[in-house]
Amino acid sequence: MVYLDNAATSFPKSEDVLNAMKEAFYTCGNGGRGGHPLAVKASETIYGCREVLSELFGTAPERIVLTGSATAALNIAIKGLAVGKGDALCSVMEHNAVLRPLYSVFPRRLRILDIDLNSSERSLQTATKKMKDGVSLAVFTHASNVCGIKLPVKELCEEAHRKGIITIVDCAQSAGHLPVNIEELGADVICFPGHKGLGGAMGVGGLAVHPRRELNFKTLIEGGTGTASKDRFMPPVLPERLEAGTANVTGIAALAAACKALKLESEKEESLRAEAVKALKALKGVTVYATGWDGGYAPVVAFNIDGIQSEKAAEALAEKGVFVRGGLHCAPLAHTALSTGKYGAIRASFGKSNTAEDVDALVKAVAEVGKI
Amino acid sequence: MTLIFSSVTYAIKAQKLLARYRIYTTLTRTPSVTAVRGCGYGLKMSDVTREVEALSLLSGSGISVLGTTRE
Repeated sequence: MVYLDNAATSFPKSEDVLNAMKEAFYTCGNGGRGGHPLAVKASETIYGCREVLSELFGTAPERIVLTGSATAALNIAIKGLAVGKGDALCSVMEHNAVLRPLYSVFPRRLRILDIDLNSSERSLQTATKKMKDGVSLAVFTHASNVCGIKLPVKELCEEAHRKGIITIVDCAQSAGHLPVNIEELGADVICFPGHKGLGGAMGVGGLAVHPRRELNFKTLIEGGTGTASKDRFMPPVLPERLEAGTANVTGIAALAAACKALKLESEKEESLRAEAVKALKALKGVTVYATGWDGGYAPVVAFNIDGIQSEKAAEALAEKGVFVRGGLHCAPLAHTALSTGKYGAIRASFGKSNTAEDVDALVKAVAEVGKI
Repeated sequence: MTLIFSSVTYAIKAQKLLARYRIYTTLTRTPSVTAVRGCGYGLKMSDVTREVEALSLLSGSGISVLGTTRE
């Protein structure tokens, strides 16, 4: 079996991650909900995860808000920071985790930025024009979950910050694959999943807030926080303001263990991606998308085999033991931009466990499925 | 002596900071905070002679102490 669906979730997870989950399962009570040893152990476990994430992303532990997923984090950030009458801006490369909350909050006030697939500089120039007058919130993916292109997020955030626009960066495909430091990116908020590049279990994601910027989040979910119970409203301080309800302490313990062991392997993953692009492009009857981008990539490749719909091709590749994903990848506008809006594309996405032999297996299986 | 914080997150952050200066504390639910605000977390200090130093360290690190109790 060759697993090339790391953009959906990393696989396999490490034994340390499972052991951390087991330990939390057997030793933790409800974090922030009592003073007995099991509750304290849970609170310490959760804080430990905030600490390791804060070191990874360059902020303070209390500025790490833990949620059930990156999607939940994006909803909390977008809806919590959508204030006033300004427009919102995002790119065509966004996932529905960004697009749908934006359509919901800004149904007639959403500006969508086209990306020139051959030039990050030209894309940036277009963005600068779109940021003129009346934009209050900008949300950008760090790297496309369809074709892997890495947007010039630092420059986009810089420009937005100059204009007083709040910025949120979706790091679903970059966290754990590429360096992600919120100060270096210049974003106000970054959102991340725990189970993809970071290597944790499913069911935990989060957002990180810039270490020195003060943001006033409206709350999306209200409820118990274990403190100030007599107050009618959610506490003003992070992270509790945005964390009503019981935390997934087993998942959080797993994420902490994964992040402690995390070693970025950006170069290796990029080399696998580049090798796959080169070999797939050499196959007659295979189209590889967004190969002319000059701004760098996350380890994701999008391609199609002529005459075979992507879902069918993915199914045929799975029968040969190569696990990839077909379809639209919850990013319809990205596919429109790639001219694959009708049937989508096949996506191969690499992770830490992949090797050059996996690229060979992919290319061989694609050639067989396409009878090339 | 117990230092009272706005949340369990800040209480643990404070506990870790103080431990670096060998000021050891125990995380606790504080009845006095509960009476006023309804549930809260505090750090019980074993060495009360270092209260001033502890408060100064926390203040210097931007960690707000809501109050202190001697219950």
